[in-house]
Amino acid sequence: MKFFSKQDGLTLAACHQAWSQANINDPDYADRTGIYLCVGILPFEDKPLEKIAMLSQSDGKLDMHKSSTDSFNAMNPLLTFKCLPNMPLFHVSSHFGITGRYFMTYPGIPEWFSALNRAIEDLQQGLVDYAIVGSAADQNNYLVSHHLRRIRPDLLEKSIDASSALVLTTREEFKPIGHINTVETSYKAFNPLENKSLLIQNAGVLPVHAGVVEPSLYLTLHLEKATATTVTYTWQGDADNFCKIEMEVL
Amino acid sequence: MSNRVVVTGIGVVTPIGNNSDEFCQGLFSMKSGAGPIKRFDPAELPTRIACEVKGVEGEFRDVKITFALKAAREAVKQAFPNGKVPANSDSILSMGIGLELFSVDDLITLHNQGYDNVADANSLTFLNTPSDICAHLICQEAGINHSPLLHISACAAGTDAIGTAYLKIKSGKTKVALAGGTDSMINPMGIAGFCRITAMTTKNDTPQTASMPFDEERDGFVIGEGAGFLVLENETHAKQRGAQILGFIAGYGNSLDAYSISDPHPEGAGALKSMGRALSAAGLRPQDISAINAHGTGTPKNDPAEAQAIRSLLGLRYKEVPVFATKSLIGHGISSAGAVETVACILSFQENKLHATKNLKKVAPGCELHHIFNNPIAFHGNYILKNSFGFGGQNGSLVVGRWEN
Repeated sequence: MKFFSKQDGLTLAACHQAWSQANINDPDYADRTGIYLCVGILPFEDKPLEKIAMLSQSDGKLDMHKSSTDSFNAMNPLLTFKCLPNMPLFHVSSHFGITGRYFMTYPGIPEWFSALNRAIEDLQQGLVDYAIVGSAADQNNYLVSHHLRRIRPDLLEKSIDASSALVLTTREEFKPIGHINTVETSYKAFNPLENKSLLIQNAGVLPVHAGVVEPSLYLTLHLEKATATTVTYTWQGDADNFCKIEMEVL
Repeated sequence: MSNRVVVTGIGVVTPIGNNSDEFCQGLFSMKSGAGPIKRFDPAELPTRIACEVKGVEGEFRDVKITFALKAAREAVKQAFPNGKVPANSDSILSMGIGLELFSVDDLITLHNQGYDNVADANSLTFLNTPSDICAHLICQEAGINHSPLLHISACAAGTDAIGTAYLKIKSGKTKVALAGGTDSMINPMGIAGFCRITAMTTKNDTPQTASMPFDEERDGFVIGEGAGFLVLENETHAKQRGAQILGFIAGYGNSLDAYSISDPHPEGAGALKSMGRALSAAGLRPQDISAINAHGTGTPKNDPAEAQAIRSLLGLRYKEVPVFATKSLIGHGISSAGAVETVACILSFQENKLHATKNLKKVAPGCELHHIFNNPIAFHGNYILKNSFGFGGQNGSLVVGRWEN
């Protein structure tokens, strides 16, 4: 691996756990598996940002001469790959040798549901036999903290780095640990400039703010505990904007 | 009910035209959108040229939001003159989008003064603007009430967005989709980042000839920017309302290289799979393809890998099937590229022409294909295969079809 960001590591760790647990031994898995990922908004760590800020200014203002020389030369070339949001997809595909379909989205819980729905549709249409539905929230960094602070400062102290993944299949020879009963989403277009709280979602079902990972993390925790026959996750932003999934625990 | 996926509206903002008519004129007059960077002072950065959009003003500091709103509006108005998608069409927005790179000016202010001492720090536009807000604004304006499908598969994102819309209509889950992409990385961080990995050309003294896909003197891509959107529609739905049909999306496929963080598979294995899957979805064979709109970035590694994949797909027909690279004219629009280039394919059917690959003089070793040199050629074929490949090995391909009334 040439470069491995925190977000990449989080994603791969969760996908590896889920994939190992699924124990898929199909020799054709490479082309018959799809990867469906959702990440949060662009993360960027504090130290490189501090270096950019320090080395790009004169008299408290941006100095492009300094930015294009001192700051530019001080940057790790591979830092660029932190700005390419599809890198977790590369790392998961490369690690497992998966060459099938993909769907790479961001930045919130409704989009995780989009990834989940796309995985289900690809499975139902026979485009894939196995789907890794993963999510990663790299939240303890400068840019994401700024984003939380300007929209939902109440979540800042509770925000964690997290990831989670589910492996789905329609193949009957595997012993499932859960079954997706229903997935329901509702969206009514809104003006984000006037209603910015809808841009960050939190259902309040965990003691922490897990960002985009919340639904998958909630489901996996309850599937592991298996104290009930069904587990339901619901995020409801307002009357018209919500997402809900119900799974049967097997 | 037929479930063919037809195109009933197109809209673009590009470095060679800020609507589809201007873009069409620019394409077939072989106009280059490249020049010295004017949006900011690139100072001593190794690359100081780009294909910038000209003359588009908007309220957003993040220009890709303005580009997206304008291009989406044009596409929707062409399909639906009242500018609204019908409420009963279960419509969706599927768009490729670049992420929110930060403003270095704001970073310095924030770093020096601290969050609590900066008056604008809590606004949605200070430091960076969340990219997803433009999706919600488009949905609100067009009357789309389905959670936006946002694609961040980098250079393949625009093509993946169109492909996803195609799949949704094909499966009967929706009748109308607004699909496309928007991006601009022409800012200090974006340009510096691509310079740092030596992905871009450094032919700063000759911007108009710097984007040279498949040429032996190519040394990297010229960055572009812009937005492109298409209204896709179920064929029966479009016909029942008397819509003008401009073309159709016949198939889509994607694949993963699982090979390298920055390089394509050298033999184009992933590219070959995405093209094959798109053909399979369309129910077509390689011999049905009449032309190929290449990803064609002009980077040393992309072009021979893509050429190899095309040769593997077409067999000896690679000597007959014309290949053209729109990035030679408008640069690499990253997340918008696939969408703008798909609009170029639709315009090719309408004009019965294919533009040439500008600046291609001597084909580089390994890039041998039936390239179009110098000037546009007449074109009466039925299917164009359109490729988009992203860093990290995400590959998307579409089959775009001619519509015969």
